[in-house]
Amino acid sequence: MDQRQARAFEEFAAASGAELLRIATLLTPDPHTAEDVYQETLQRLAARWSRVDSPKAFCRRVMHNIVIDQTRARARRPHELRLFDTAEEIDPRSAAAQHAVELWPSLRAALDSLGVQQRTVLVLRYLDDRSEAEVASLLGISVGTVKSTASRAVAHLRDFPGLAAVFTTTDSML
Amino acid sequence: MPATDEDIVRDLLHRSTDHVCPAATIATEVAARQRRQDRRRRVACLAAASAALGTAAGLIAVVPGHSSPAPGGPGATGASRPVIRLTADQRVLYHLSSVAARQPQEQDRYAVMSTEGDALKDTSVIDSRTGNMWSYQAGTDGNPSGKGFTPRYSPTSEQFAAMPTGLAALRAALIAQWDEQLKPARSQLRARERAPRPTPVPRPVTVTDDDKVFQQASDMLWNPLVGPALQSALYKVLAAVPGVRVSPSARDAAGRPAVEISRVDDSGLPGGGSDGISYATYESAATGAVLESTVTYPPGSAIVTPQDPHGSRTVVDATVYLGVTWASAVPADPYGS
Repeated sequence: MDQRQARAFEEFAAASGAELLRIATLLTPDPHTAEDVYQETLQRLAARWSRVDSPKAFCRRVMHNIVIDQTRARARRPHELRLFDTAEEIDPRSAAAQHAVELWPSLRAALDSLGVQQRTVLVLRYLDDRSEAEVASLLGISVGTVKSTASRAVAHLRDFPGLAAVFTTTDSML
Repeated sequence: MPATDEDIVRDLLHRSTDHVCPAATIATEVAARQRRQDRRRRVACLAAASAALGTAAGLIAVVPGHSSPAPGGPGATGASRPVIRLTADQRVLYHLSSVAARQPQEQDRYAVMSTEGDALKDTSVIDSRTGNMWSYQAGTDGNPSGKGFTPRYSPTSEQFAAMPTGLAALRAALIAQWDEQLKPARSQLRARERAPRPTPVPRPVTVTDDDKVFQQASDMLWNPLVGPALQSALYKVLAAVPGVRVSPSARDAAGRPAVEISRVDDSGLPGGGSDGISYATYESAATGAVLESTVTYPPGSAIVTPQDPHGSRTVVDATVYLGVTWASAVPADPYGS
Protein backbone atom coordinates (compact mmCIF):
# COMPACT_ATOMS: atom_id res chain seq x y z
CA MET A 1 0.00 0.00 0.00
CA ASP A 2 1.64 3.24 -1.09
CA GLN A 3 0.81 6.73 0.12
CA ARG A 4 -1.79 7.32 -2.59
CA GLN A 5 -3.53 4.05 -1.84
CA ALA A 6 -3.41 4.78 1.89
CA ARG A 7 -5.19 8.08 1.31
CA ALA A 8 -7.83 6.46 -0.89
CA PHE A 9 -8.31 3.79 1.76
CA GLU A 10 -8.73 6.39 4.51
CA GLU A 11 -11.20 8.33 2.35
CA PHE A 12 -13.24 5.17 1.85
CA ALA A 13 -13.21 4.48 5.60
CA ALA A 14 -14.25 8.08 6.34
CA ALA A 15 -17.17 7.82 3.93
CA SER A 16 -18.32 4.29 4.79
CA GLY A 17 -16.98 3.69 8.32
CA ALA A 18 -20.14 4.65 10.21
CA GLU A 19 -22.26 2.51 7.90
CA LEU A 20 -19.94 -0.47 8.39
CA LEU A 21 -19.75 -0.08 12.15
CA ARG A 22 -23.57 0.12 12.34
CA ILE A 23 -23.78 -3.19 10.49
CA ALA A 24 -21.12 -4.70 12.78
CA THR A 25 -23.00 -3.43 15.83
CA LEU A 26 -26.14 -5.27 14.80
CA LEU A 27 -24.30 -8.44 13.79
CA THR A 28 -22.35 -8.87 17.04
CA PRO A 29 -23.32 -9.36 20.68
CA ASP A 30 -21.69 -6.22 22.11
CA PRO A 31 -20.11 -2.91 21.02
CA HIS A 32 -16.55 -4.03 21.78
CA THR A 33 -16.88 -7.06 19.52
CA ALA A 34 -18.44 -4.80 16.88
CA GLU A 35 -15.40 -2.51 16.95
CA ASP A 36 -13.08 -5.51 16.74
CA VAL A 37 -15.01 -6.86 13.74
CA TYR A 38 -14.97 -3.42 12.10
CA GLN A 39 -11.21 -3.07 12.61
CA GLU A 40 -10.51 -6.61 11.42
CA THR A 41 -12.62 -5.94 8.32
CA LEU A 42 -10.64 -2.79 7.54
CA GLN A 43 -7.39 -4.68 8.12
CA ARG A 44 -8.38 -7.36 5.60
CA LEU A 45 -9.51 -4.69 3.15
CA ALA A 46 -6.21 -2.82 3.52
CA ALA A 47 -4.27 -6.00 2.79
CA ARG A 48 -6.15 -6.45 -0.50
CA TRP A 49 -6.86 -2.80 -1.32
CA SER A 50 -5.26 -2.80 -4.78
CA ARG A 51 -7.11 -5.98 -5.80
CA VAL A 52 -10.62 -5.20 -4.56
CA ASP A 53 -13.03 -3.84 -7.16
CA SER A 54 -15.93 -3.14 -4.81
CA PRO A 55 -14.73 -2.32 -1.28
CA LYS A 56 -18.27 -2.03 0.10
CA ALA A 57 -19.33 -5.47 -1.08
CA PHE A 58 -15.98 -6.89 0.05
CA CYS A 59 -16.44 -5.47 3.56
CA ARG A 60 -19.95 -6.87 3.94
CA ARG A 61 -18.85 -10.32 2.86
CA VAL A 62 -15.77 -10.26 5.10
CA MET A 63 -17.79 -8.99 8.05
CA HIS A 64 -20.24 -11.85 7.65
CA ASN A 65 -17.38 -14.38 7.52
CA ILE A 66 -15.72 -12.92 10.62
CA VAL A 67 -19.00 -13.03 12.54
CA ILE A 68 -19.55 -16.68 11.55
CA ASP A 69 -16.01 -17.54 12.70
CA GLN A 70 -16.55 -15.75 16.00
CA THR A 71 -19.92 -17.40 16.56
CA ARG A 72 -18.36 -20.82 16.05
CA ALA A 73 -15.50 -19.92 18.39
CA ARG A 74 -17.96 -18.65 21.03
CA ALA A 75 -19.98 -21.85 20.76
CA ARG A 76 -16.92 -23.81 21.81
CA ARG A 77 -16.39 -21.66 24.91
CA PRO A 78 -18.38 -21.78 28.18
CA HIS A 79 -21.42 -19.49 28.10
CA GLU A 80 -20.75 -16.06 29.58
CA LEU A 81 -23.40 -14.41 31.70
CA ARG A 82 -24.04 -10.71 31.14
CA LEU A 83 -23.58 -8.41 34.10
CA PHE A 84 -26.25 -5.98 32.96
CA ASP A 85 -29.39 -6.95 31.11
CA THR A 86 -32.00 -4.36 31.90
CA ALA A 87 -34.64 -3.87 29.24
CA GLU A 88 -36.75 -1.05 30.61
CA GLU A 89 -40.48 -0.87 30.12
CA ILE A 90 -40.76 2.31 28.07
CA ASP A 91 -42.53 3.35 24.94
CA PRO A 92 -40.10 2.07 22.31
CA ARG A 93 -41.92 3.91 19.52
CA SER A 94 -40.64 7.29 20.67
CA ALA A 95 -38.52 9.00 18.08
CA ALA A 96 -36.37 10.59 20.76
CA ALA A 97 -32.78 9.45 20.53
CA GLN A 98 -32.60 8.58 24.19
CA HIS A 99 -35.58 6.27 23.86
CA ALA A 100 -33.99 4.61 20.87
CA VAL A 101 -30.99 3.89 23.07
CA GLU A 102 -33.29 2.59 25.84
CA LEU A 103 -34.91 0.26 23.33
CA TRP A 104 -31.55 -1.15 22.49
CA PRO A 105 -31.39 -3.98 25.10
CA SER A 106 -34.64 -5.50 23.82
CA LEU A 107 -33.56 -5.27 20.21
CA ARG A 108 -30.15 -6.69 21.12
CA ALA A 109 -31.76 -9.64 22.91
CA ALA A 110 -34.04 -10.23 19.93
CA LEU A 111 -31.13 -10.16 17.50
CA ASP A 112 -29.07 -12.44 19.73
CA SER A 113 -31.84 -15.02 19.58
CA LEU A 114 -31.61 -15.16 15.77
CA GLY A 115 -29.21 -17.39 13.85
CA VAL A 116 -26.19 -15.79 12.16
CA GLN A 117 -27.70 -16.03 8.68
CA GLN A 118 -31.09 -14.69 9.77
CA ARG A 119 -29.42 -11.82 11.55
CA THR A 120 -27.18 -10.97 8.60
CA VAL A 121 -30.04 -11.09 6.11
CA LEU A 122 -32.13 -8.85 8.38
CA VAL A 123 -29.33 -6.28 8.76
CA LEU A 124 -28.37 -6.22 5.10
CA ARG A 125 -32.00 -5.99 3.95
CA TYR A 126 -33.37 -3.45 6.42
CA LEU A 127 -30.38 -1.48 7.75
CA ASP A 128 -28.17 -1.57 4.69
CA ASP A 129 -31.18 -1.42 2.32
CA ARG A 130 -29.75 -4.05 -0.03
CA SER A 131 -32.10 -5.71 -2.51
CA GLU A 132 -32.90 -9.40 -2.11
CA ALA A 133 -30.73 -10.17 -5.13
CA GLU A 134 -27.77 -8.23 -3.69
CA VAL A 135 -28.06 -9.99 -0.32
CA ALA A 136 -28.26 -13.34 -2.11
CA SER A 137 -25.14 -12.53 -4.09
CA LEU A 138 -23.21 -11.28 -1.03
CA LEU A 139 -24.03 -14.32 1.10
CA GLY A 140 -23.90 -16.89 -1.68
CA ILE A 141 -27.50 -18.06 -1.19
CA SER A 142 -30.60 -18.03 -3.39
CA VAL A 143 -33.05 -15.14 -3.61
CA GLY A 144 -35.79 -17.46 -2.36
CA THR A 145 -33.73 -18.24 0.75
CA VAL A 146 -33.23 -14.51 1.36
CA LYS A 147 -37.00 -13.92 1.11
CA SER A 148 -37.95 -16.73 3.47
CA THR A 149 -35.13 -15.98 5.92
CA ALA A 150 -36.04 -12.28 6.07
CA SER A 151 -39.69 -13.09 6.51
CA ARG A 152 -39.03 -15.51 9.38
CA ALA A 153 -36.61 -13.04 11.04
CA VAL A 154 -39.17 -10.22 10.92
CA ALA A 155 -41.83 -12.54 12.34
CA HIS A 156 -39.44 -13.52 15.13
CA LEU A 157 -38.85 -9.87 16.05
CA ARG A 158 -42.58 -9.18 15.93
CA ASP A 159 -43.23 -11.99 18.43
CA PHE A 160 -40.28 -11.17 20.68
CA PRO A 161 -41.60 -10.15 24.11
CA GLY A 162 -39.55 -6.96 24.50
CA LEU A 163 -40.50 -5.70 21.04
CA ALA A 164 -44.09 -6.84 20.68
CA ALA A 165 -45.37 -3.44 21.82
CA VAL A 166 -43.69 -1.73 18.86
CA PHE A 167 -45.64 -3.79 16.37
CA THR A 168 -48.86 -3.84 18.40
CA THR A 169 -48.94 -0.06 18.65
CA THR A 170 -48.65 0.21 14.89
CA ASP A 171 -51.41 -2.32 14.31
CA SER A 172 -53.77 -0.39 16.54
CA MET A 173 -53.04 2.80 14.64
CA LEU A 174 -53.80 1.33 11.23
CA MET B 1 -44.85 6.55 10.69
CA PRO B 2 -43.80 3.02 9.62
CA ALA B 3 -46.66 1.04 8.15
CA THR B 4 -45.54 -2.54 7.58
CA ASP B 5 -43.58 -4.93 9.79
CA GLU B 6 -40.61 -4.52 7.44
CA ASP B 7 -40.79 -0.74 7.80
CA ILE B 8 -40.91 -1.07 11.58
CA VAL B 9 -37.83 -3.30 11.58
CA ARG B 10 -36.07 -0.88 9.24
CA ASP B 11 -36.93 2.02 11.53
CA LEU B 12 -35.84 0.09 14.63
CA LEU B 13 -32.48 -0.88 13.18
CA HIS B 14 -31.74 2.64 11.95
CA ARG B 15 -32.81 4.41 15.14
CA SER B 16 -30.93 2.04 17.40
CA THR B 17 -27.65 2.58 15.57
CA ASP B 18 -27.88 6.24 14.58
CA HIS B 19 -25.48 7.14 17.39
CA VAL B 20 -22.79 4.69 16.23
CA CYS B 21 -19.69 6.27 14.75
CA PRO B 22 -16.17 4.83 14.51
CA ALA B 23 -13.09 6.69 15.72
CA ALA B 24 -11.48 8.40 12.73
CA THR B 25 -8.07 7.16 13.82
CA ILE B 26 -8.92 3.49 13.28
CA ALA B 27 -8.54 3.69 9.49
CA THR B 28 -5.32 5.72 9.82
CA GLU B 29 -3.88 3.13 12.19
CA VAL B 30 -4.90 0.28 9.89
CA ALA B 31 -3.35 2.00 6.84
CA ALA B 32 -0.12 2.77 8.73
CA ARG B 33 0.12 -0.82 9.96
CA GLN B 34 -0.46 -2.11 6.44
CA ARG B 35 2.25 0.15 5.03
CA ARG B 36 4.67 -1.11 7.67
CA GLN B 37 3.82 -4.73 6.92
CA ASP B 38 4.19 -4.12 3.19
CA ARG B 39 7.60 -2.59 3.71
CA ARG B 40 8.75 -5.54 5.79
CA ARG B 41 7.35 -8.10 3.39
CA ARG B 42 9.19 -6.57 0.49
CA VAL B 43 12.34 -8.17 1.83
CA ALA B 44 10.63 -11.53 2.14
CA CYS B 45 11.63 -12.56 -1.35
CA LEU B 46 11.19 -16.04 -2.70
CA ALA B 47 13.98 -18.53 -2.38
CA ALA B 48 14.01 -18.80 -6.16
CA ALA B 49 14.51 -15.07 -6.45
CA SER B 50 17.48 -15.29 -4.12
CA ALA B 51 19.08 -17.85 -6.37
CA ALA B 52 18.43 -15.66 -9.40
CA LEU B 53 19.95 -12.71 -7.60
CA GLY B 54 23.12 -14.65 -6.98
CA THR B 55 23.40 -15.18 -10.73
CA ALA B 56 22.69 -11.53 -11.42
CA ALA B 57 25.33 -10.57 -8.90
CA GLY B 58 27.92 -12.56 -10.79
CA LEU B 59 27.05 -10.78 -14.02
CA ILE B 60 27.12 -7.31 -12.50
CA ALA B 61 30.52 -7.90 -10.99
CA VAL B 62 32.19 -8.14 -14.40
CA VAL B 63 30.59 -5.23 -16.27
CA PRO B 64 33.11 -2.58 -17.44
CA GLY B 65 33.57 0.14 -14.87
CA HIS B 66 32.68 -2.12 -11.98
CA SER B 67 35.38 -4.73 -12.40
CA SER B 68 38.26 -4.99 -10.01
CA PRO B 69 41.70 -4.48 -11.57
CA ALA B 70 43.53 -7.70 -12.23
CA PRO B 71 46.62 -8.23 -10.08
CA GLY B 72 49.59 -6.79 -11.87
CA GLY B 73 47.44 -5.30 -14.60
CA PRO B 74 46.58 -1.69 -15.39
CA GLY B 75 45.16 0.09 -12.40
CA ALA B 76 46.71 -2.29 -9.92
CA THR B 77 49.20 0.20 -8.61
CA GLY B 78 48.25 2.72 -5.97
CA ALA B 79 49.52 5.61 -8.11
CA SER B 80 47.04 5.04 -10.95
CA ARG B 81 43.94 4.47 -8.80
CA PRO B 82 41.64 7.44 -8.28
CA VAL B 83 41.57 8.79 -4.77
CA ILE B 84 38.14 8.31 -3.21
CA ARG B 85 37.21 10.89 -0.63
CA LEU B 86 34.39 9.98 1.68
CA THR B 87 32.02 12.62 2.91
CA ALA B 88 31.39 12.95 6.65
CA ASP B 89 28.10 11.07 6.26
CA GLN B 90 29.79 8.26 4.38
CA ARG B 91 32.52 7.99 7.03
CA VAL B 92 29.84 7.48 9.70
CA LEU B 93 28.19 4.78 7.63
CA TYR B 94 31.53 3.06 7.00
CA HIS B 95 32.15 3.15 10.75
CA LEU B 96 28.77 1.44 11.30
CA SER B 97 29.74 -1.05 8.62
CA SER B 98 32.94 -2.04 10.41
CA VAL B 99 31.16 -2.22 13.79
CA ALA B 100 28.49 -4.50 12.27
CA ALA B 101 31.15 -6.72 10.68
CA ARG B 102 32.71 -7.34 14.10
CA GLN B 103 29.47 -8.65 15.65
CA PRO B 104 29.33 -12.40 16.33
CA GLN B 105 27.29 -14.69 14.07
CA GLU B 106 24.44 -16.02 16.20
CA GLN B 107 24.19 -19.81 16.46
CA ASP B 108 20.81 -20.31 18.19
CA ARG B 109 17.77 -21.01 16.03
CA TYR B 110 15.21 -18.47 17.28
CA ALA B 111 15.58 -14.68 17.36
CA VAL B 112 13.41 -13.07 20.04
CA MET B 113 12.80 -9.42 19.19
CA SER B 114 10.99 -6.92 21.42
CA THR B 115 9.45 -3.89 19.75
CA GLU B 116 7.08 -1.07 20.55
CA GLY B 117 4.88 0.69 18.00
CA ASP B 118 1.41 2.28 17.97
CA ALA B 119 1.72 2.32 21.80
CA LEU B 120 1.71 -1.49 21.79
CA LYS B 121 4.48 -3.79 22.94
CA ASP B 122 5.21 -6.81 20.76
CA THR B 123 7.57 -9.72 21.10
CA SER B 124 8.33 -11.51 17.84
CA VAL B 125 10.05 -14.87 17.60
CA ILE B 126 11.54 -15.56 14.18
CA ASP B 127 12.74 -19.03 13.21
CA SER B 128 16.05 -18.56 11.42
CA ARG B 129 15.63 -21.85 9.54
CA THR B 130 12.08 -21.44 8.19
CA GLY B 131 11.38 -17.69 8.44
CA ASN B 132 8.17 -18.44 10.37
CA MET B 133 7.21 -15.92 13.02
CA TRP B 134 5.26 -16.08 16.27
CA SER B 135 4.14 -12.67 17.48
CA TYR B 136 2.97 -11.89 20.99
CA GLN B 137 1.32 -8.60 21.87
CA ALA B 138 0.81 -7.07 25.31
CA GLY B 139 -2.83 -6.35 26.16
CA THR B 140 -3.97 -2.78 26.63
CA ASP B 141 -6.90 -1.03 28.31
CA GLY B 142 -8.05 -4.20 30.00
CA ASN B 143 -8.04 -6.21 26.76
CA PRO B 144 -6.26 -9.55 26.85
CA SER B 145 -2.91 -9.97 25.17
CA GLY B 146 -2.81 -11.65 21.78
CA LYS B 147 -0.61 -13.87 19.69
CA GLY B 148 -0.33 -14.78 16.06
CA PHE B 149 1.63 -16.95 13.68
CA THR B 150 2.86 -15.92 10.23
CA PRO B 151 4.46 -18.60 8.07
CA ARG B 152 7.49 -17.53 5.98
CA TYR B 153 7.42 -14.01 7.42
CA SER B 154 11.11 -13.46 6.77
CA PRO B 155 13.78 -14.90 4.52
CA THR B 156 15.77 -17.52 6.38
CA SER B 157 19.30 -16.96 7.67
CA GLU B 158 20.50 -19.19 4.86
CA GLN B 159 18.77 -17.04 2.22
CA PHE B 160 20.25 -13.89 3.70
CA ALA B 161 23.68 -15.52 3.79
CA ALA B 162 23.35 -16.35 0.07
CA MET B 163 22.99 -12.69 -0.87
CA PRO B 164 26.02 -10.99 -2.37
CA THR B 165 28.13 -8.69 -0.20
CA GLY B 166 30.04 -6.92 -2.98
CA LEU B 167 28.66 -3.40 -3.27
CA ALA B 168 27.70 -3.31 -6.95
CA ALA B 169 26.29 -6.82 -6.79
CA LEU B 170 24.31 -6.12 -3.63
CA ARG B 171 22.87 -2.91 -5.07
CA ALA B 172 21.77 -4.80 -8.20
CA ALA B 173 20.30 -7.54 -6.03
CA LEU B 174 18.25 -5.08 -3.98
CA ILE B 175 16.84 -3.49 -7.14
CA ALA B 176 16.03 -6.90 -8.60
CA GLN B 177 14.31 -7.91 -5.35
CA TRP B 178 12.08 -4.85 -5.52
CA ASP B 179 11.13 -5.57 -9.12
CA GLU B 180 10.49 -9.23 -8.32
CA GLN B 181 8.06 -8.31 -5.58
CA LEU B 182 6.15 -5.93 -7.82
CA LYS B 183 5.56 -8.58 -10.49
CA PRO B 184 2.29 -10.01 -9.04
CA ALA B 185 0.76 -6.53 -8.67
CA ARG B 186 1.79 -5.57 -12.22
CA SER B 187 0.35 -8.72 -13.72
CA GLN B 188 -2.92 -8.10 -11.87
CA LEU B 189 -3.10 -4.58 -13.30
CA ARG B 190 -2.49 -5.92 -16.80
CA ALA B 191 -5.22 -8.52 -16.29
CA ARG B 192 -7.66 -5.81 -15.22
CA GLU B 193 -6.85 -3.81 -18.37
CA ARG B 194 -7.36 -6.88 -20.59
CA ALA B 195 -10.61 -7.99 -18.92
CA PRO B 196 -13.79 -8.05 -21.06
CA ARG B 197 -15.11 -5.21 -18.89
CA PRO B 198 -11.87 -3.31 -18.08
CA THR B 199 -11.79 -1.47 -14.78
CA PRO B 200 -9.80 1.75 -14.36
CA VAL B 201 -6.25 1.11 -13.21
CA PRO B 202 -4.16 3.64 -11.30
CA ARG B 203 -1.37 5.41 -13.15
CA PRO B 204 1.87 3.58 -12.44
CA VAL B 205 4.41 5.18 -10.16
CA THR B 206 7.95 5.13 -11.49
CA VAL B 207 10.26 4.34 -8.60
CA THR B 208 13.91 5.28 -8.99
CA ASP B 209 16.66 2.74 -8.40
CA ASP B 210 17.99 4.81 -5.50
CA ASP B 211 14.56 4.70 -3.82
CA LYS B 212 14.45 0.94 -4.27
CA VAL B 213 17.93 0.45 -2.85
CA PHE B 214 17.36 2.67 0.19
CA GLN B 215 14.02 1.16 1.07
CA GLN B 216 15.15 -2.43 0.59
CA ALA B 217 18.39 -1.91 2.53
CA SER B 218 16.76 -0.04 5.41
CA ASP B 219 14.01 -2.67 5.53
CA MET B 220 16.59 -5.41 5.96
CA LEU B 221 18.70 -3.82 8.65
CA TRP B 222 16.19 -4.39 11.46
CA ASN B 223 15.97 -8.12 10.74
CA PRO B 224 18.03 -10.09 13.27
CA LEU B 225 18.50 -12.92 10.75
CA VAL B 226 20.71 -10.67 8.62
CA GLY B 227 24.26 -11.76 9.40
CA PRO B 228 27.21 -9.47 10.20
CA ALA B 229 28.69 -9.63 6.67
CA LEU B 230 25.45 -8.65 4.92
CA GLN B 231 24.63 -5.97 7.47
CA SER B 232 28.10 -4.51 7.05
CA ALA B 233 27.65 -4.46 3.26
CA LEU B 234 24.20 -2.85 3.54
CA TYR B 235 25.68 0.15 5.40
CA LYS B 236 28.24 0.57 2.62
CA VAL B 237 25.54 0.37 -0.03
CA LEU B 238 23.56 3.04 1.80
CA ALA B 239 26.66 5.24 1.86
CA ALA B 240 26.59 5.32 -1.95
CA VAL B 241 22.90 6.25 -2.32
CA PRO B 242 22.39 9.92 -3.25
CA GLY B 243 20.22 11.88 -0.84
CA VAL B 244 21.00 9.87 2.28
CA ARG B 245 21.34 12.05 5.37
CA VAL B 246 23.21 10.95 8.47
CA SER B 247 22.94 12.48 11.95
CA PRO B 248 25.55 10.85 14.17
CA SER B 249 24.31 12.33 17.44
CA ALA B 250 20.56 11.72 17.28
CA ARG B 251 18.40 9.89 19.83
CA ASP B 252 15.67 7.36 19.23
CA ALA B 253 12.16 7.58 20.73
CA ALA B 254 13.37 5.67 23.79
CA GLY B 255 16.07 8.33 24.35
CA ARG B 256 18.98 6.09 23.39
CA PRO B 257 21.96 7.64 21.55
CA ALA B 258 21.68 6.74 17.88
CA VAL B 259 22.95 7.39 14.38
CA GLU B 260 20.01 8.55 12.29
CA ILE B 261 20.02 7.54 8.61
CA SER B 262 17.22 9.10 6.60
CA ARG B 263 16.19 9.84 3.05
CA VAL B 264 13.24 11.41 1.26
CA ASP B 265 11.87 9.44 -1.70
CA ASP B 266 12.80 10.70 -5.17
CA SER B 267 9.57 9.27 -6.55
CA GLY B 268 6.15 8.13 -5.40
CA LEU B 269 3.79 10.38 -7.32
CA PRO B 270 1.98 9.10 -10.43
CA GLY B 271 3.70 10.58 -13.46
CA GLY B 272 6.90 11.36 -11.53
CA GLY B 273 8.04 13.56 -8.68
CA SER B 274 8.70 12.97 -5.00
CA ASP B 275 5.85 12.14 -2.66
CA GLY B 276 7.91 13.72 0.13
CA ILE B 277 7.80 10.65 2.39
CA SER B 278 10.90 10.31 4.54
CA TYR B 279 12.14 6.94 5.77
CA ALA B 280 14.54 6.93 8.71
CA THR B 281 16.33 4.27 10.65
CA TYR B 282 18.22 4.81 13.93
CA GLU B 283 21.24 2.65 14.65
CA SER B 284 23.37 1.95 17.69
CA ALA B 285 26.89 3.24 17.05
CA ALA B 286 28.21 0.59 19.45
CA THR B 287 26.70 -2.49 17.80
CA GLY B 288 25.29 -1.40 14.43
CA ALA B 289 21.86 -2.73 15.52
CA VAL B 290 18.68 -0.90 14.52
CA LEU B 291 17.02 0.93 17.43
CA GLU B 292 14.06 2.53 15.68
CA SER B 293 12.53 3.01 12.24
CA THR B 294 10.11 5.77 11.27
CA VAL B 295 8.06 6.85 8.27
CA THR B 296 7.32 10.55 8.11
CA TYR B 297 4.82 12.19 5.78
CA PRO B 298 5.57 15.68 4.47
CA PRO B 299 4.08 18.69 6.29
CA GLY B 300 0.51 19.39 5.28
CA SER B 301 -0.42 15.74 4.80
CA ALA B 302 -3.13 16.17 7.45
CA ILE B 303 -2.43 12.73 8.83
CA VAL B 304 -3.67 12.16 12.34
CA THR B 305 -2.61 9.35 14.65
CA PRO B 306 -3.75 8.30 18.11
CA GLN B 307 -0.61 9.92 19.53
CA ASP B 308 -1.18 13.05 17.47
CA PRO B 309 -4.93 13.57 17.00
CA HIS B 310 -4.49 17.07 15.59
CA GLY B 311 -1.94 16.16 12.94
CA SER B 312 0.63 18.68 14.17
CA ARG B 313 3.43 16.15 13.67
CA THR B 314 3.69 13.90 10.68
CA VAL B 315 5.41 10.74 11.88
CA VAL B 316 2.83 8.15 10.89
CA ASP B 317 4.71 5.01 11.68
CA ALA B 318 7.40 4.40 14.29
CA THR B 319 8.73 1.12 15.58
CA VAL B 320 11.19 1.05 18.46
CA TYR B 321 13.39 -2.04 18.60
CA LEU B 322 13.91 -2.65 22.29
CA GLY B 323 16.27 -5.59 21.97
CA VAL B 324 17.03 -8.99 20.49
CA THR B 325 17.95 -12.20 22.30
CA TRP B 326 18.44 -15.68 20.91
CA ALA B 327 17.02 -19.02 22.04
CA SER B 328 17.25 -22.66 21.04
CA ALA B 329 13.50 -23.27 21.53
CA VAL B 330 10.37 -21.15 20.94
CA PRO B 331 9.97 -19.18 24.16
CA ALA B 332 6.68 -18.91 26.05
CA ASP B 333 4.35 -15.93 25.56
CA PRO B 334 5.86 -13.22 27.77
CA TYR B 335 2.42 -11.58 28.17
CA GLY B 336 0.62 -14.79 29.20
CA SER B 337 -2.04 -14.81 26.45
